[in-house]
Amino acid sequence: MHKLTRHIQHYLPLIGVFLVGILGFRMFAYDRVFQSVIVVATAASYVAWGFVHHHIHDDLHLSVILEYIAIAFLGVVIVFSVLFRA
Amino acid sequence: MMTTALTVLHYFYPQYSNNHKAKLLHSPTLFLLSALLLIFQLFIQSLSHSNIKILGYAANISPSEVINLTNQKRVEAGLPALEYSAPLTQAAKAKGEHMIAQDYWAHVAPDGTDPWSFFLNSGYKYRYAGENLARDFTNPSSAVDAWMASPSHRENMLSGKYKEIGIAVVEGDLAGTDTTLIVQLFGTQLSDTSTSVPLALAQPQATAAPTKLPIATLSVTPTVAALVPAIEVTPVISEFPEENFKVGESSQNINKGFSLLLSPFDTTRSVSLAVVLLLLVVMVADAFIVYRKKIPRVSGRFFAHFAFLGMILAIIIIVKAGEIL
Repeated sequence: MHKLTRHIQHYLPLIGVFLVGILGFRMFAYDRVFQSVIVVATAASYVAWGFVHHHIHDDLHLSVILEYIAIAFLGVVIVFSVLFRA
Repeated sequence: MMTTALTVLHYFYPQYSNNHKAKLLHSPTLFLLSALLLIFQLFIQSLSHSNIKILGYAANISPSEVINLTNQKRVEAGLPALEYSAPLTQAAKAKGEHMIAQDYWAHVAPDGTDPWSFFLNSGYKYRYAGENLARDFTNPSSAVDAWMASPSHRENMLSGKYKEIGIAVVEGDLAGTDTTLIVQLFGTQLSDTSTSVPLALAQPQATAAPTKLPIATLSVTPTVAALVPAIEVTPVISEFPEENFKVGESSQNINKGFSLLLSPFDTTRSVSLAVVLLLLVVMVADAFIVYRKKIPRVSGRFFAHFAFLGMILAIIIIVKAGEIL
């Protein structure tokens, strides 16, 4: 929590991206393709954020990047599964 | 028993055996989880290609309700209500049945049959024509709301060019899944020379497919341009026999195989919710334990992961069944 408040300027853009993603997903509820693009773009932004954030903090390791990619990939798989079954 | 407990701890609790990070949160496990979810989707897909019938959406959609809701939206927008048309209803029914028979979900059939041919085949000679399609909605208002949210479909619903409407709700097997299709057709007969919009506005517009106008549109005589009748806002609620435009395939389905009560959407959503919630809980517990024990480790940021999965959770909750075209 202490780290979170100390680096709030790092987390605000990330939260902003996620909120825009949710808003866009809701606004374009009739357009499956655009919703898919929103999810992929948000996941890519999340991985990019992780890369930049850890690079700034000098703790960028392959395992860390793989962790972000794994979570992003899982998120995309889950959303696509639900989206294309809806 | 002891071994099971140790395995559970290994997957859910940060300790020496998992390098002080719950095994479930390790990258290889997450990739494995993704692969399992993909295999699960393939399994559901294989059911629809097998002899097993899977439940799609047992929707109870009343065509008259769709017409009433459409007219309600038009009246709210200051447009006259559309009148029920029996030939348009017949055309909508024919289109829905054609989609089921030919197993497609599109405005134009794979064999090249366009929507306008259904108008003509039912004896409806049109000046203007439009088509909206919907599938798998659980109630009429969700379908109408989805059309209203899409600019091109909304344009069809709120167009002053159209005078009549025909709706058919067709149930059948589309790509191996029980499906409820809603076909909404709009039209103005060729003999109708009045129009509630100036000619300039009634010209074909370069928008999405559903608003395509037939060649007949171009034959509007210049005298029509001057006719801009006062807009009536009285909704027209016609007497329409429900059974005439609600089509089902239930009798055909009986002999196709046994039914498995499985809704692909609901099942996928439930599994997805369970996976995301489990990950969030394990993630919170893992972060709490590591923080309390002051364990130093190389890892991604908990808050970033938590926020991302929170977004995924919100999206799973937001997604609604139903698709429009």
